[in-house]
Amino acid sequence: MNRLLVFIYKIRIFAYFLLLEVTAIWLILNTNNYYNASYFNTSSAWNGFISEQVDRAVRFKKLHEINQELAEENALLRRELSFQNLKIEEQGSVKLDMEVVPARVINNQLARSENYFIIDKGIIAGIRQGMGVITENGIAGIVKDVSANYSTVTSMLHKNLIVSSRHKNSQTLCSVQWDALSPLYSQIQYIPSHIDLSIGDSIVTSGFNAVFPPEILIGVISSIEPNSGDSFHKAHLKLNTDFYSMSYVYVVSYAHKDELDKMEEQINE
Amino acid sequence: MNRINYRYIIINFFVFVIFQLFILYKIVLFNYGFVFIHVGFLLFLPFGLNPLLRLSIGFIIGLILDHFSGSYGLHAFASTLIVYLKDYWLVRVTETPEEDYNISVLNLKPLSSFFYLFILLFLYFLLIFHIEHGGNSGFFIVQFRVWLTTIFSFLFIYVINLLLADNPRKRI
Repeated sequence: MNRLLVFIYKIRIFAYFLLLEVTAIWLILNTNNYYNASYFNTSSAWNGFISEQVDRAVRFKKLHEINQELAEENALLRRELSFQNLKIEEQGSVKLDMEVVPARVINNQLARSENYFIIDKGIIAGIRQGMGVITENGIAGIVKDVSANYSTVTSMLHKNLIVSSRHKNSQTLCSVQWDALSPLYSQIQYIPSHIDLSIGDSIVTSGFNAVFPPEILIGVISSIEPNSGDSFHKAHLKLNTDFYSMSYVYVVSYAHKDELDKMEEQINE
Repeated sequence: MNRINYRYIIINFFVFVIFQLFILYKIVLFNYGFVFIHVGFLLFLPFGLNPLLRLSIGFIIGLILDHFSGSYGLHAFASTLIVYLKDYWLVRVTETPEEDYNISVLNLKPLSSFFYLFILLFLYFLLIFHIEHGGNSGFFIVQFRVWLTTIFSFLFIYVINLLLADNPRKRI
């Protein structure tokens, strides 16, 4: 306390000077309209800036919760959107009850030829084997194994996973299968060679076999090999899903999937 | 060391401040140059005067000017700054440490008195006119006003002090 008083005594002249100057400035601001307005504009701007920074810091702490809320909201919206995209058949309406469960990727593989990733939802959340997993940008994989709280998903970057898809421009059915060369690109198969393909054309999910909702963008054509007399094009697409930064995904579950799978088995027999 | 010449201070007050408030405030030269000689009273306050007293005097004189000119805080701000800086500046411009407490143009060498008065006057009017003007427009007009007012005020203050000051024992 003694030291504080000594310090105050040492700087008393400068402190008194500052006090008088601040008083003079206060008088100026209160009596001069121009500075009054400028002061309030500037102080509002500063207040706003400081509040925004504080809010950013607080929001950063709550980022995980916010992300979770956004993922759940996205899942709801995607469910709504999928109904909008469904085509109604002439004989009647085809209804697919679809639920979208948001999940977080807790483990991901990219370097192997058969890659998997793990999500933080399992049986308790309603996940079942065979469900499609999508992201906000495209498709991610298909559920392989499920435990109470976790699921293993066969990634799109798995050389044995084939996804039923469609060339959007011509509506031609095709398949997408990863060729284990790059996590950014995949191979398009079974597009007849008479179909006109261009770089930049979209390849979307076909919606067949009730794994993925239809019309979800898988990627865009990035290269087309010259046709050497084969029946099908040889082309590659750039995957729309960024597997490097994938953190939140949505598991698509169809209410009547089991019934549809059974019917498909019967057709194949 | 000399004692503080209180008679000198009182005369300075009446000549520089009262004269300014009731007579000189009406003078405008060439439509841009004003005359503010009350700053002379502040600049001729004795060197080494109690700093707290010096600051209070500067603030009060500034407030008095503000009251008469309707610009509350403006002259008070600049006056307080000038009295705070004046002793430091005086030590800078004089070649030897100040021995005489009483400052006048006769106590200082001509060049020292010029630099001492002119620079502080320029600073004072720079603050006054720019704060009063506000904003960035009309910079050169304001500058012209600052220079003109500084020159006229300096001339008035120098001549008045020349007539009022006592003969010094030696110049520093």
